[in-house]
Amino acid sequence: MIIPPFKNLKIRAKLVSVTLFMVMISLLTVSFLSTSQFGKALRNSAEEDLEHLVTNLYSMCKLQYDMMNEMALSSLNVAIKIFYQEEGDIQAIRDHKLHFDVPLQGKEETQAVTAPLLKKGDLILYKNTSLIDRIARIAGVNCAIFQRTDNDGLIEVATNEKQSVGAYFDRENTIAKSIISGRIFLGNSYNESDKRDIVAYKPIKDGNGGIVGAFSVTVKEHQASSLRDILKNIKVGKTGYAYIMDSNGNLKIHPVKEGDNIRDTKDSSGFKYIDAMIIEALNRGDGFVSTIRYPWINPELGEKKPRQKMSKYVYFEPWDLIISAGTYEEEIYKSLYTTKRFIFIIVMLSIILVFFLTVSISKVLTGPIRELTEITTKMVEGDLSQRVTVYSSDEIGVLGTSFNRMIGQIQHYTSNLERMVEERTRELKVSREKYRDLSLFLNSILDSATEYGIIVFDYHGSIMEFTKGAEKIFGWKKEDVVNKQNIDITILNNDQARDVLSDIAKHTRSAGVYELEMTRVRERGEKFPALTTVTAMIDPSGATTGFVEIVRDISRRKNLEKQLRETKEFLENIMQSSVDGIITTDMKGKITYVNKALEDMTGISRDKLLNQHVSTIYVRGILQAREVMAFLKESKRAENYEMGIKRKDGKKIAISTSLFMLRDEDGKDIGTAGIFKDITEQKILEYKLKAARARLIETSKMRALGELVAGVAHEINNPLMASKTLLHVILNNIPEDWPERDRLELINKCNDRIEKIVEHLRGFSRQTDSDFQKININTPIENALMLSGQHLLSNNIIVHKKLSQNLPEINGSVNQLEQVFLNLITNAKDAMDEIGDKKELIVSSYLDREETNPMVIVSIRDTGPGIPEKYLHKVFEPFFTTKVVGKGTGLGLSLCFGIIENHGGRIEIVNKKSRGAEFRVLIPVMNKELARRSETETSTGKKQNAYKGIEITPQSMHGDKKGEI
Amino acid sequence: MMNKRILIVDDDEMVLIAVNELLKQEGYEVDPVSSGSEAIEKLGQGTYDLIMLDIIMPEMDGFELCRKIREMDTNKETPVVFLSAKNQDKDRVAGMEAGANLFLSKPISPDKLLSIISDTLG
Repeated sequence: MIIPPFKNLKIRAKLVSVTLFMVMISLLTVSFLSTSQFGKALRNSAEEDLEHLVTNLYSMCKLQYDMMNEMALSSLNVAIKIFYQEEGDIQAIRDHKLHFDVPLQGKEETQAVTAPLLKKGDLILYKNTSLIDRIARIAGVNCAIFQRTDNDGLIEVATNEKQSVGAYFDRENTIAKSIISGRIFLGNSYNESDKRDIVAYKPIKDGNGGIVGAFSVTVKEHQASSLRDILKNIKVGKTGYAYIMDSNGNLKIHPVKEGDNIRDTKDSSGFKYIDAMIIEALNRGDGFVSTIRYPWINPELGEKKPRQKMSKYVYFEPWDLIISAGTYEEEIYKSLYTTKRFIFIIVMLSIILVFFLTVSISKVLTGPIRELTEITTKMVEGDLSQRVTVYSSDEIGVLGTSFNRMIGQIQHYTSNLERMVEERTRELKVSREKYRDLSLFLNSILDSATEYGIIVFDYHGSIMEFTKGAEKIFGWKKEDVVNKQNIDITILNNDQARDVLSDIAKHTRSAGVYELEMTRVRERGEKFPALTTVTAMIDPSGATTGFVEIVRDISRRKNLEKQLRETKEFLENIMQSSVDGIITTDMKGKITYVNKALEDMTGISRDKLLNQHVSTIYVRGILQAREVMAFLKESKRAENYEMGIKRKDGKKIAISTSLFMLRDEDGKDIGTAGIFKDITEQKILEYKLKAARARLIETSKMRALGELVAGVAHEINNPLMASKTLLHVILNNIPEDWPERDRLELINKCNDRIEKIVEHLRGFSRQTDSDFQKININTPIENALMLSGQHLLSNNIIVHKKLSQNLPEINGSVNQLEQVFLNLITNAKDAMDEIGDKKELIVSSYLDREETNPMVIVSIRDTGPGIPEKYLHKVFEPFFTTKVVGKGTGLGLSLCFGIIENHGGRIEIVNKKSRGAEFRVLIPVMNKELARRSETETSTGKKQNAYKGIEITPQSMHGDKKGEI
Repeated sequence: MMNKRILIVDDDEMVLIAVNELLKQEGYEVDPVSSGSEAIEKLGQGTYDLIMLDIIMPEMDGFELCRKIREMDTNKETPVVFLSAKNQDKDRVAGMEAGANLFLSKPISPDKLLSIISDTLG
């Protein structure tokens, strides 16, 4: 509809409008391209200058940063070297906890963290300012020592210059993460105010290579002032300048406003442009130059109108600095603006001209179209008499002619249709009466049978007769059912569905009579079991005309049967689910019943047990069976007798049993019954309790001794100190050729020996575990064997090593355990000194899961003469020795005892019957997790143990027996 | 040059005599006292270059004395060295927390003691 009016123009008019249109398009295009190209060129050169400026400033910062990093790393290496030169190993004393309160990230509250005490030799690193001061002085940087906390964070425990300690990094902190994973950390200071300082951290390792802390150095950033001087001399355009701020908007370097926070500064349109710059800079990241333009009024120059400003900026991430330089755009674009304004005016004038031309042309074209629209509107309202005036022969003229023809055709069609149809209805109802031929006499006889119900019904089930007995059984009244109801009302829906009637018909035809038990239904819907007998009525032609049914209610009988069955099942369930074994026999001792628990207990199935003689499961066989029977015949009943039975696999179980006679109604004995309770576990517990109590007494005795020894050692130290010091003074004072000098030197040696003994005694009584960690028990064993290997070889001792691999880890000290094993190996060697042949040392390790908590066991066995019985309880006491004076202090085994006790374990001595002694060191598996794991691994095995795993010695069983049975 | 002044506090007479003799021989000016209260009196009268403390003493123990020294006006900055028969880690930590600079255990060899004292005095 846009093109037709245009087409209708005279050729000249069409040409004029097209030309005007083309002129306008080209005018706009040319003016736009020329201004934009000119602007772009101008803009590029100005922007490039700004960009070079900020890029150069960025490179300066980066250079300085790289230099500081290098300095930090080299200082760290120097400081660490000095630190490691200090005497002694680094060790973390896990038993001695340091407690710190550290602030939670971004909160008021504090959190309690703990760390082991860190030592270098005898030096405690915690708050040790003298050590760190010295290192800092030599290395020329600030130093600090951090400790690894128990939750894998880092806490500052010492620093030079008396600065405060206690800075804390939690495990999520980047520094803590690097250090714990063993890497050097190099980066910016964590401290907000010294963000541009460079810090370097290096892990501190203990003697075993475990990371226990970190050493750190800090390099101060001093050179900001030089950067500031350069920056202040920079001018951009006429009024522009450069400045540096951090990502919070704090001005770090600025010609006039240094130190101010400008994050919320708004441009003249109210837009927070600094904030936008910061967000953009952080988004784009380190080294990317961005641009921002914003309107700005400078009130200090008395400006009223905003002028457009442009800034270039770049983010220097390491120091979190945004470097920016900017100026007024008009200082760059002045000439561009003039050109733009001129072109704009020309284009506007052209557009106005073209507009007026188009309007006047369209006015000429739209006249005939408006008329056509008006006619159509009238037609829609129902007036079909209107016609269009045709003015021209162009497309609009043709349209008008066709339109007029169409209106005429619509007036041509009308018509009507009508129709009616009716139908009739009909009815047909046929009913039949049935004949009936039963005498009243017969009825009265039938009615007198009240225990039985008699029902007569025809081949289709219609009830024809219903006796008094039937009324009593079914609850229906005769007058309500005869000729009115079908026999189906007494039969279950299910039975109807499977066509019980034709079933009856089939049976009665073949056999004459059909007797069956089925569920029937009373008037009220109640179901009951019934016994029914059906005979067929047959007419002279041999066809079945109906049935006679005799029904009897058997619900009482059924109820009794059910109760009996339930009682029996109830009793059987109780016996089967009992955890105690239940068994009955006849008078000859043949097994007549066993329950499930007894099957489990013996491991023999019920089928195999039944009809066997009961003595087959008794430990003492037929003899025991006779005793039991004789006892029962006399006293009829026995309770809590303890005896032994044996399993299919020959293992014996201790049981406590209750026995009694079984009698029939007349009180005559018909058999015996027994209830067996498995008390194997109980027996084991009793045994373990006894052993544990003995161990406890032993342990407390040793502890008391330990405390006494520690006290004595401590008391000796003061006079010893005085003695040593005075001797030193005297030796310094006397001339070199003093006749008694040798004797004084001897006293000095005595003092040294006393000191060694005291140190040894302290070791024996030491309560702390200095270097406990997760270890495999095989490590200290291997170490001890390696140390003693040559010695054993030269004494002609053959070593058998049987170390189990894949043992769970224990918590312990490799050094201390090594000392224990070395001691036990040396003892074994000494024990075999006197024998001539077959000197063998058997060292083995394995896991024992029988204990409540799994234990790792190390066994050291020799083939020597063994330990005399009378010494067995004394060997762990301090100063007990069988060696000649001077060969042993008598402290070795007591030291071992103390160490193993500290590990939560114990030492057992077993004298081998054949030859030699065995020392068994038992140490608990590290944690409950592992304990649980190894338990589940063997859970099946454990369950069986209740029956077959534990040997009950004959003595223990007979000793506890209460009476002979 | 002025001799360095050292205060020794120990309730054990023998230790006091012995260490006194040892230090005097090296040219130090030594004040031996046998209790905390005597020590405080001495410390109030003048400044020392080093203070050596025993831990177990009647009335006031070494830790308490050390804390008091750190609050005093006169000898707040003076290095404090513990010299005690105690040598468990918990004692060492308690010593550092009380403000000591060094913790030494008895018996210590006289040579080692002298070299540590000379290091600490700088």
